[in-house]
Formats: sequence, C-alpha cells, structure tokens
Amino acid sequence: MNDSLLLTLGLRVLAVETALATGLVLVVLLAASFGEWWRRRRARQLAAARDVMARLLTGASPSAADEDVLRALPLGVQEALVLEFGRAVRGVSVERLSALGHRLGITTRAADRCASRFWWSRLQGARLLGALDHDCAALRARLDDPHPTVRAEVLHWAAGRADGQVIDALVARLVDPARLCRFTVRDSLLRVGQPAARALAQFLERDDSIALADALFVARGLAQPELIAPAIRLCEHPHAIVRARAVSVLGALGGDDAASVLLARLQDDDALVREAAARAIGEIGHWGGASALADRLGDTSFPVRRESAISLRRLGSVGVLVLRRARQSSNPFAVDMATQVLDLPDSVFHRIAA
Amino acid sequence: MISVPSFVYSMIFPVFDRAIFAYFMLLLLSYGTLVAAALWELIGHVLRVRGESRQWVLGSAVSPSISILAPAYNEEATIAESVTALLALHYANLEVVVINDGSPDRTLEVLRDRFALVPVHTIVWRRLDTKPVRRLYRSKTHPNLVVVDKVNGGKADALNVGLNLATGDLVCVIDADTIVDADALPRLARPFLADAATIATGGMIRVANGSQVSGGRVLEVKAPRNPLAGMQVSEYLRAFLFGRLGWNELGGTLIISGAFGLFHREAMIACGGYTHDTVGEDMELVLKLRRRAYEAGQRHRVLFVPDAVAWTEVPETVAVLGRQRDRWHRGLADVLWRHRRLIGNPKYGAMGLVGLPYFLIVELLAPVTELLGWVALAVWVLMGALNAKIALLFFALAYGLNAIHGTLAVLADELSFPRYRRTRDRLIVIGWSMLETFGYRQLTVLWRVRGLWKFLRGRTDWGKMERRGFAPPTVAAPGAASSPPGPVRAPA
Repeated sequence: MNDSLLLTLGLRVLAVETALATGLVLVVLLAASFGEWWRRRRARQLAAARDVMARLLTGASPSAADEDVLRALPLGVQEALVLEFGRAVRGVSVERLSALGHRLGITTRAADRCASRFWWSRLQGARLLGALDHDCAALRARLDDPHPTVRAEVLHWAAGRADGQVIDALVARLVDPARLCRFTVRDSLLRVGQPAARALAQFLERDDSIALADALFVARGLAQPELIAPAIRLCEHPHAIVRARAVSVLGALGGDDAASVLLARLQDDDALVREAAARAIGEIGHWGGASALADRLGDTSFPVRRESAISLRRLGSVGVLVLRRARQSSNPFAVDMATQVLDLPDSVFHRIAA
Repeated sequence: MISVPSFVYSMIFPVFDRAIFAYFMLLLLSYGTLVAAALWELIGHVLRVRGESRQWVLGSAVSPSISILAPAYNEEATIAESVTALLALHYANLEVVVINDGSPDRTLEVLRDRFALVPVHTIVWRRLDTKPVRRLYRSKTHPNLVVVDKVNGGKADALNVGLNLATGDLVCVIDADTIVDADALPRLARPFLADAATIATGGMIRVANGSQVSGGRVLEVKAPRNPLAGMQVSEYLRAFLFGRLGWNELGGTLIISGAFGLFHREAMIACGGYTHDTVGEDMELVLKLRRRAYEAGQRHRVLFVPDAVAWTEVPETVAVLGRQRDRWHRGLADVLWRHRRLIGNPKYGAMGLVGLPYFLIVELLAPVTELLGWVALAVWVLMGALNAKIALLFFALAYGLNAIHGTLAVLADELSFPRYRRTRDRLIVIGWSMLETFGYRQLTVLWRVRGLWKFLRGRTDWGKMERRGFAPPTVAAPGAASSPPGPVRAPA
C-alpha cells in the first residue's frame, strides 16, 4: 500500500473516530444531564407520592383526591411505589394496596406483561403482581416459566399463597434444574411453614434423588411430627449428605426414637454425618448422649470434635462437667477442643450453638 | 541524520511495520470483542436486578453464610473503623475474621479495646499450611467477630490462616482499607444462588479519592482532582466494566481482585488456598481454582458482578503508582509462567484457548510492543525514514480509539449503575480519560516493562505502599496493598 493511499484511508478512519468520539461525549453529557434531571424529578415525585400512598394504605383519612394524585403520576413512578410499599406493608394494608393497584390499572397491565414474549417484561409483571399480592392465572402460569429468574420470582410470591395447588407446585420444584429456583423453593416452603409438611413428607417418601438433601433442609426448618418417620428412614440413605440432613431433622424434632438413631449415627463412617449427629444430640438436650459425645471429642475429624464439645456445653451442667473432665484426658485433641469451647464467651457460644 | 543501508528500507522496515500493524489490529479485535461482550452482559444483568428485592436474600434462612477475611498489618489508625463498617454490612449470616499479620504497631491492642476481645484456647483446623498462630480472640460484644494474631507471613499467608478459621460457606476477601458498599454482599452472593457451578465472584472496585468518606462508608462520590487519581478512575472503569464483564460472557475470567472477591470456601481450600511466593496471588488463586475444576471435569463459573461495589484509595504520587504497576505486572508474568502449560491447551477450554493467550499476548507483552514502537519511532526520526504525516495519523488514530473506549466506559457506567451525582464529576472523568494518552500512558508502559524486567531478574518483593488514608495517614505494609484491576489499556 503506498503512502498516499494509507494517508487517505487513515484520514477517513480518523474522521469516523472523531465523529464517534464527539457523539459519545455528547451522549454522555445528554445522558448525564437528562439522567440527573430525571432522577431529581422522580425523587420529588416519589417523595410527594409516598405521603399520599401512606395515607391511602393506613386508612388515615384517605380521599379520592389522593388517588387522583397517584393516577396523575407517570406509570413508572406508580410501579416503583407499588414495589416499594408492597415489600414494606402487611395485613390490611396489603389488601388496600391490592385494591388500589386494581383501581389504578397497574394489576391489569402487570398481568398483561406476564404474557409477554420477553422474559424481562414477564419478570417485571410478576414482581408487580407479587407486590400487589394479586393471585391470577397469568401469574400462576409463570410457575412453569422457561426463564429461571421469572420462575424464581413467582416461586417467591407463591409462599404467600399456601393452597394445596401452590404447595404441590413448590414441592415439585425442589428438583428444578435451576439452582436459583431450588433456593427460592426452599425459602418459600420455610415461609409456608406447617401446611407444607404433609406434601414434603410425601416427597421424602417417594423421591430418591439428591434433591432429598434440599427437602430435608426444609424439613428441619418446618420441624413437624409427620416428618420424623421419613427422616429416620433416610438416616440409612446411601448418600452421606442426605443422611446428615436427615440426622439434623431429628435434631430439630427430638423424641426417644430420634435419640437412639442419633447415637447410632455418631458412629457413622462419614464425618459429615457424625458432625450432624453430635450437633443434633445437643439440640435435643439428650443427657444420655453425654458419654458418647465425650468419646467423639477424640474423633479424627475436627468438625466432629468441635460439634461434640459445643453440644456438651449446650447440655448444661452435665455436659460442662464432662468437658472439664476432658481437659484431663490423655487425648490432646479432646483436651484442646474442650478447653477452647469452655473458653468461649457466652455471647459467642450462643451464636455458634444457635 | 544517520545513513541507512538500503536493505533496512527494503526488508526490515516493512516487516517491522507489518508486525506492529498486525499487533494493533489484534488489540483492536480483542478490545472490540470484549466491549461487545461486556455490553451484552451488562444489559442482561441490569434487566435481571432492576427492581429486585435484596431483602429476600438477606432475610432468608437458606442464604449461604459468609465469612469476611480482612488481613491487617500496621492498621492501628483505621482498623477499628474498618472492622465496625464490616460488621455493619447488610448480610444476616455474616462472620468477620480479622487476621493481624504480626503488626508491630498497636493494631491488636486497638481491636482488643474496641471490641472487648477475650483470648480463647488457640486451636486451628490446619487445613492449609501457614505461619504459626499466636493467639485467637473472640469478642464479647460482637459474637460474629473472630480476631487472630499470627506471625508475619505476608498477605497470602494471612488469608490462608483466615481460611483455616472461617466457617462460612462462602469467603469474602477484602483488603483492610477497602470500603465495601453496605449492600454489596448480597449482590456479590447472587451468582452463587443462581448457579451451583459458581466458584468465585468479584466486585467492582471504584476509586474513592476525592469522595467524601466517613464512618467506613462513601457518603458522596466525587471525581478526584488529582491527575493521577483521575486517570486511574477512567482506567478502573474500563478495566472492570469492559475487561472483567466481557470475560463473563467469553468464559475467560482470570482475575478476581484481592480487594473484594467472594469465593466458595471448600473450593479454595481444595486447591491449596493462596500461594505464598508470588506477588500475583489473586490471579494465581483464580487460575488454580479453574485449573482444578477443569482437571476434575467440573463445570464452573467465575464471574464479575458490576453492581457489587467496593472503594479503594489509589496512589496519587508517581513513585507509589509506579511501584504498584511494576508489582502488578510482575505478578501477571509470574502467574503466566507458573501456569504456562495451560496456555493454548484445549483441555482447559476457554481459559486455555482464549483467556490465557489474551493475557500473554495482549496484557503481558503490550507494554513491550508499545515501548518498541516508541523506540522505533525515535530511530526512524534519526534515520530520516519517517513519514511524519503517517506517524502523526497513526498516533491520532490510537488516541481516538482510546478516547472512544474511555467515553464508552463512562457511558456504560452512567446507563447501568451510576455513582456520580453531578454532571461536573462525569465531565471531569471524561476529561482525565482524554488526557491519559499524554504522558500517563507512557509512564505505565515504562513501569510495566520495568516489572517484566524485574520478574526476569527474579525480584518478588511487594514494594512499600504509602496511603494517605480516608482517616489519618497510614502506611500499609508488605502484603497489604490493593490488587490489580486487570486489563486497563486501550489500543495504541
């Protein structure tokens, strides 16, 4: 390529670059100044509307004029308010918010969005309906949305709608391929609480996948009697993580049957299970397990030794006595762990044991 | 003017010209791809998190527990404020592990007084080999605070002690002088909830110089007036928003800044924790994590999260900045040398075939090529072989690309997660970005070449890092300096 051609070509590229750079700077300036103006305006609108919204939701002398003020706001601000208040209010205020959303047309628009072909639009629709605590077929259909973020949003909403259909859908999603959804399902089932226990027990009886570990995590949080039988059965499961979780369910439930299973699990081949069993014995306050826990102070696994010592201290005076005796033990591991746990300030111990 | 043999004109100059041109085109292609991938990723991320409630993650009993590891060396002036800010971060299941790396000053005494520390019998589960631990402390007033006093061994050793002590599912690594946004942790933890294959996430490091800082929080973000700090703002924006984010899409993320990163604890321990004898321990750790995952045939993800923000004070003097850049480049060279067998190896997927070759050719060798370009320019001037118009044009083209790259980064920042509240500050950042090419850029080239030279000569020291500090002036010591933002350069 000769010099003059190179120069001509270079100058043309430079002209394009200059135009592009100038354009970008202008766009930044526009975006910055418009953005600043827009943010200030929106902040002003939100600040004024929050008072109105609070009056409408608390029932403190609301008026039609208040509602008109909200109606006059841009749709984006109305939706931002609904999301903000939807997360903050409870009880009768939620019903008022739901009714208000209906009157302002937000509910209809959000339901329409739930049918959008774009996932982000469906997500926003689901968030708005969730904030309005609105139950409709459009939202329920999104429990099977192809996009995990949308599905997770609806699974989160579902915790507030604990009917049989929703609970079954939640439990079925314990095997969802997306981790975000499995995380949300566990959270939602814990928030549903006792009504979910039966469906969960059935799941524990019929499923044999690794999803059992997630289900048992929820079972521990629910701590309902119908979960004892499947938990005891799953203490024999071939997967160590499932056995460990089953053991921890027993720690939350207690009972004579549980105590004998836990003592047996203290001898499990897997350290994860022994650790969970040691913790569970402390949780159920089973004094009879003190000597077995004392033996575990010399376990080959550090976490098992630590949990055994913490459980002993948790047992109260009997356990503390055992720990003090362990300080004279010939096993240096037992001595160290007993000494450390006895040294822990009460506040730290309670946090660890919680 | 020097007389030039004819074969130089006919053979050497054209070859050299073409080599430089080819390298320039490679840089353009790399940066173009990274910018496109980053913008795509950024749009998706903004759509996902817009309007999301973080209370959901914060308040859930299912959320993973996090242990923050904060190594400290001679931080008596700021440690109490830093730890208080860490304890106040918005995350329910949080543990803070402060590792006093044998500070000769009053760091430990300050901690003991401020947080009512009591010694407990010192036993540590030594899953990683470290220098001896002197004493373990727990706080009567803050049950989630653990303080460990150990024999000095550098940042990597301190972090390994922290790893031995941490109990969280995830481990957050920060520098003791890093200011973390109160809601940054749930943002950084989100990818771990979304995908079980996530083994590490890194947050956005922003420059705090010039901003109003109080009580361990950045209260008002302002653009720095100091030229060196100002130009680093633009560099950091480009490095994180384009460099890091672009690699999310391309699967070649190799750097999680040691100033603010979140890791899967068991994965970290399984790969042996931090390596002691390198100054690039952040990148080394990520490479080890990914290498191990590839070798075990495990699907894994290392991600950058643009809305999880931590703030750092960048050097404002030429000497300190020079030492920092020299060290970063030595670290890069060292890590690439240690893992040289992975470069171009298809067994290591995108990391081996794309990420590592990029870091070798574009990141490591860029300063050498640029320096060669400047030297060649001088030689040609002396030989009278230079077409001044073309040289000037080439410089203008490179400058233009740099300006576009920098402005695009400011625009992407503005349209995604803006921090500057005043137009004036944005203008100042753009201004610094435009001035970078004149002097600053050439200095960074020299520092990085110096780093490479030192690496070849086997130097592994950290160099002294002086900081003005957000509070009274402090001096951070070996191992306590901030970490590289990664790729920061524009084509030239």
